[in-house]
Amino acid sequence: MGGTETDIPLLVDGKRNDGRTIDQMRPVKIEAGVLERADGSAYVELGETHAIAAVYGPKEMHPRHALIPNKGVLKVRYSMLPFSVGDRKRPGPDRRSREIAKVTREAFESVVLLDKYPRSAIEIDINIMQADAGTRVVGLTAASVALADAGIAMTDLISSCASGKIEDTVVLDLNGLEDNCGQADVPIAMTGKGEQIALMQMDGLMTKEELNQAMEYAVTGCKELHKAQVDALRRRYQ
Amino acid sequence: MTLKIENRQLVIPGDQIAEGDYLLGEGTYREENRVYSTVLGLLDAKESFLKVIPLKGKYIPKPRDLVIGVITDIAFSMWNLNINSHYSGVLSVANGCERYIDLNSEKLSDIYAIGDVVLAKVDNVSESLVAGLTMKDRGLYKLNDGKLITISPTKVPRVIGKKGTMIQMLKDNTGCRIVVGQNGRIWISGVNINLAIEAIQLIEKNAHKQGLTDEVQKFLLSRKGTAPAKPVAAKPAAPAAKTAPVAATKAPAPAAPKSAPQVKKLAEAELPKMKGSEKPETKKEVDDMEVF
Amino acid sequence: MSVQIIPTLAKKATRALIKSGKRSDGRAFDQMRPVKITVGDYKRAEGSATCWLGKTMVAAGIKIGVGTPYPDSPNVGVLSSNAELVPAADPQFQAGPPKEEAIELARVVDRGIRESKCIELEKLCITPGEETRMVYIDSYVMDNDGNYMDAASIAAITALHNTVIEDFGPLPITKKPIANTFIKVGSDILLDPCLEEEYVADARLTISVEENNNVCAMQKAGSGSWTKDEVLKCVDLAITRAAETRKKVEDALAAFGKEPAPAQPSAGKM
Repeated sequence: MGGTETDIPLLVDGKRNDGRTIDQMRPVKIEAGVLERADGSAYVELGETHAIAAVYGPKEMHPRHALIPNKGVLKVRYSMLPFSVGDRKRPGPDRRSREIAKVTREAFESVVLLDKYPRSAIEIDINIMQADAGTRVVGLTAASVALADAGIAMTDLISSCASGKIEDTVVLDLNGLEDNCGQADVPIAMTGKGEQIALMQMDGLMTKEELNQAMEYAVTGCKELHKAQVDALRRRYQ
Repeated sequence: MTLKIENRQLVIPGDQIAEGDYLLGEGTYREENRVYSTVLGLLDAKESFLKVIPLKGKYIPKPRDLVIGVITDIAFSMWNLNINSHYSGVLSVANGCERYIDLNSEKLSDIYAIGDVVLAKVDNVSESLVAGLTMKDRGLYKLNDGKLITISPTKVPRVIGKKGTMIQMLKDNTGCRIVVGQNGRIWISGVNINLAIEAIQLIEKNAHKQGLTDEVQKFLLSRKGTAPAKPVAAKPAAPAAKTAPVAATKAPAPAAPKSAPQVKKLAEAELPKMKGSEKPETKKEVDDMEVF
Repeated sequence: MSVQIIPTLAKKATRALIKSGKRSDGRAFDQMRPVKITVGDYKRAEGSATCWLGKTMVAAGIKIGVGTPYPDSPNVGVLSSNAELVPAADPQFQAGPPKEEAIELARVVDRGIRESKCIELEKLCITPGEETRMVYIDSYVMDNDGNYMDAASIAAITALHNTVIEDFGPLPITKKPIANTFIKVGSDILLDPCLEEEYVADARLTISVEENNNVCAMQKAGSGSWTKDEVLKCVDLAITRAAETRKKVEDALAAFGKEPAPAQPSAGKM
């Protein structure tokens, strides 16, 4: 957690610095099929956090020695564009982006029917165009739409958002300021049916009760995102 | 047994399709008593049988599929082909063409060079993602000129249409020779290539809609004024010419009676003239189009 | 990824079409695809823009940092250009360290801007020899249907003109150098090639031109060659087209507003 001090009050009479209530998500915008060349693609905006995800595959696995004979391999690249953050980010993968790629990949491994793609690779490329907290959850939400858009078989979509804690209060979907100055951050990804947690991380301090509340908020947030994901995919075929 | 989604409607991975004791086909899975979709596609419900026809996805070769391949490499006694799939195509010397190829006196690159485009048939498919191809048929050969376009392989049945009606309409109205590979590659030759491409793109864009034939017909008619008259090349001269070099099944006559389900529909590929005037037959299973 | 094999038949068709004086999208040889520019798309950047040339899409963002000036020019600000061909843009683009194409792209974008001296870098110096502002240009190819070079050049110069530096004001920038890329196919010369045209190109030539019609950067690529007359012919056309594109950049900047919103340096955490 950031833990940075701020003069801006984060929570006044149940209202947050950007006017939201504690259980309100930032405005969501999702579009499927935004790129010409990719097999599947999606653009997702959650407030001021914007991501473009692309999917290629199934395709031949490279390097050949890394293929799995009886199932497909998911490859995830998560990248923040240098100008997506306050201080320019050096291009190229760092430890943080590798970790996010790993947990994102594992989240999708829980829904993608990899048995259908033996010896093949499915590549997910997540690009964060603009960051204001929640980039991994926005990237994951975009990648899920891109996978469906590419025609990849999966048991469910995945939707992802974060809960957190500011001013000793659990809130849904931290913005950048809240993330920097808050007390805890809990990114969660859920399957569309809302039963299974496919990704979960946490940093900061929370009681068990607070964690329970955070998960409940995240479940409702994911439901809202799931609806927007489904709408985006349907719009593509209207 | 109840459907939760109307037949032929769009479904998304995770959408519940039905509840009850259905038989499940591609694109579906069961959780307890509920049936869900695994892909983005259209629900195809036939009584107690459910499947989802995908709207997107890569080509998966099946034996007897007609494909358009690109030679990507030449090994000692075979060619490697890109067949627009994560499966790679392999054409052995033995299956390379109708005549015998003598490896001692011939260079394989003189027969098919890297970059050449060929019409081939899938002979076998192995679990190691290799599709064994054959060109041992008069209807299968190298394509020398014309234009190659690629569409989503899932939309091929719509370009062909029920009993080949759509593709026939395209040919009649554009005067082009058109070969549709099951792998999404389409070869077009003639004066009106652009009109044919536009029509195919229209089909691809609206593949999920009903009433597509009418829409395409309207489009073609609207462009009739600008299109040059139908060239004669389109029709083979001698209908009596020997039929079907491919497979032994009988060739359905143009006015075939309403075929029984087991009669394969014709996804015939009209072939370039240089191969003589016999009308080749390429049989395809195009069950998927039935849903539309 | 193995080398991409383009069907001979496809190359033949494209070449034949070009030989007959036509292009598959109906353009004339000296015409560009539709140019679409949006400004200020990425709010964490001090300046940003997106450029579409047909279906090719490049996002450019400007970040301002503080660093040490080069010893041989102690009172001059530092300009740095980077480009990436992201895997999302093209099945041929692979993840990993920048390949030579991406490095070439970054350098060609850089040269057009640097050599036109459009940025008054001296004004960015804080303490000579010790501290200066650094201008980082990042061009990201997001969707590739050919000629990302020009799209990147247009996005980058638009983003620079959109740049506002905190505690300083708008980036001191004057001119708008614009790149125009030509390819040679047989004896024909085509402006702004799409991907299928690039596949049959014998040679490529990028020419950056600034306001008073000076050429400020060039790059020849591809294994074919150009004659002197061809180069001069391209320069003529580049001057004409660059003026038209410059107008589009100006329109896009005007549409965004005279006073671009300053970057939001807070937050910006992941």
